[in-house]
Amino acid sequence: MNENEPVTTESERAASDAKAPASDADDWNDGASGGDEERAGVVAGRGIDRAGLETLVRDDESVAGACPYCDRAFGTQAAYDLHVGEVHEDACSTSEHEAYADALAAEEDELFYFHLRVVAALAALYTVLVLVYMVALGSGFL
Amino acid sequence: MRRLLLATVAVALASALDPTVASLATSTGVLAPLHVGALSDAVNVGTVPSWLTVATGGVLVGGSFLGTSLLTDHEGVRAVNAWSALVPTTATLRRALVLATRVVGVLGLALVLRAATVGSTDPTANFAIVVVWIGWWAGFAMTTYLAGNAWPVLNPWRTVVDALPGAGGRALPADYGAWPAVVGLLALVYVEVVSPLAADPRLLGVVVAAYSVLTLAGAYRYGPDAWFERVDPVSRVFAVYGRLAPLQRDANGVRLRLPGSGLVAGARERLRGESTETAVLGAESGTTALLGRESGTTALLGRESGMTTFVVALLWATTFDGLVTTPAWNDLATVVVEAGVPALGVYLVALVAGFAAFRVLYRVAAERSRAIVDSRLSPAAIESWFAPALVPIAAGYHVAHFLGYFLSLSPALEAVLRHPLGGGGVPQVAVLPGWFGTVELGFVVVGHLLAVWVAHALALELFPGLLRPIRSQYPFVVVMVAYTMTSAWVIGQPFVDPVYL
Repeated sequence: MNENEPVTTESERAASDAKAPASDADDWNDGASGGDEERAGVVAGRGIDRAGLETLVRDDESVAGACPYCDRAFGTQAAYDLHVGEVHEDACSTSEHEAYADALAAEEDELFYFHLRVVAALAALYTVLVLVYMVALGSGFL
Repeated sequence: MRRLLLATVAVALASALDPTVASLATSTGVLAPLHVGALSDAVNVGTVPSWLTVATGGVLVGGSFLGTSLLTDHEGVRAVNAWSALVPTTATLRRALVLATRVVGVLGLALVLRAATVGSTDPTANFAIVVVWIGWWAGFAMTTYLAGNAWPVLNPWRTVVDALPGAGGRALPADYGAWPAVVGLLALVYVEVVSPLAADPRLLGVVVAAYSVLTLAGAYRYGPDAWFERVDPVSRVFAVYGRLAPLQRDANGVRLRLPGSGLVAGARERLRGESTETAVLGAESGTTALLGRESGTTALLGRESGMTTFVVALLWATTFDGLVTTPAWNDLATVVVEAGVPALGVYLVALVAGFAAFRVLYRVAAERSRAIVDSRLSPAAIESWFAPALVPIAAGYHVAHFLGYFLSLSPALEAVLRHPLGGGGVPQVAVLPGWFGTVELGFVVVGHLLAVWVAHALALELFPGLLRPIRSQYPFVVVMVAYTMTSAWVIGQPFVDPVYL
């Protein structure tokens, strides 16, 4: 029944010292370990975040920060900001929420052009499929 | 005309799910009704070449991925998956259903063992053969994903162990994870494929008796919960399929949900650290509800080691079962066996090698996904997060593989159920119409479309922002297109008996 067990791998967690508010661990039941862990910057290696997901920072990879609420590491500041605002919207601070809103606005601009390409790809797929069927069924060529 | 109507209905059904299928409907409509009819025969005969049928399956999956990428409203996607309605039941009704189901399970097992020992040696007239393969492995298995998983209650071995005092004296080591079930599933599939289990009632009786002894001993030693939720491959297969089903059990009773939404349930809560697992599991008194005892979400989305591998094994098991009945396999196996390799070894190597290929392909996709979105999660974490999306693919393939078998042999099933002690007369077999192959192909595609949707919903939760969730799916979509086209090809092949068995 290991799926029922609480997260016990606190000793592996590493939190961003710059981003973590002082009280971030208070709302989390640390159990036996973790409370006495010294906070350190994210280093290369494996860890387990508080959702039970394994994190991995390879030697050649950089880290923008680890989420103060769930310990998950992120490679870019934008991903970090978006994660904090999306997943921990109820817990995050005003500045974190502003950073989230900025990152989201930037993504939305990019999303429009992305969707433009998606629609073009769908139209191309449609056209090719119809043409292939017309040739295959109509001419006996294929 | 009837054939034409059904082909149209099938295409319309698919187009309701996906905009790109609508294009197919339009295109065939433009061409002429003749070609709609031809399309319905596409799998085996007709004017659509089989490569085009296979390619169309791939295009539908790729196109539906493009379609879902237009849906980036997190709240909207969540709302669709969260829809549910409580199915009104009363405690009395549930208790009566549970009791009746348990009696049917135990009685069924007793009759199977009896028929396997002293029943007719004609497989299609033998209660054991017909009930195990047609009634249970094809028919009941389909109900687990099309309706809901009733196996925890029907399971006769569980009923027996529950009645024994003192079960569960030892704890099952947590390190084992899902690995015993992975090995058990592959072993069952191997035995099923290489032995005449579906033709020889006596042999089937020996295997059922051996399984019974092993299961009862294991469940008594480790307790029924640990054994049937973690070790027993059969229970695990049904539990995994059950997460796809529209009927799901939660703390308040049985709920009607959209198919597949049970695979996404709990994902956001888990990331937020507000797990609902205890609520669901705590309410599990098990015996009082028909669909009780499913750890489901926690098992799939949980941290259990080997769960991803188990889901991939399930997908591969069904594919392998179909693959060995294709002419291409028989040609290949003939060459290898004539070169001096023992036939049983060829099948074993093919089973393990194909499984390894599926597993490695999935790991490569997770690794690519991680690189594309610059994630700092491990590939194993990404894999296990998206493993639930493989379940609809496995189920779609399962129904494609077994529905025709079930329907064509259902008269034999009816006959043995009427005469469980034998003497049902000459068994009948229903002949399925030619267009049925296209319906089967449709199930493969529908399974993949559902998988694309489930994966999209899971990605929106896991990866931050709007574009990362979409981009994270590129490698998985490539893998899914490959799986669809493989499955569509296997389904479209004429059936031949596997050689040397």
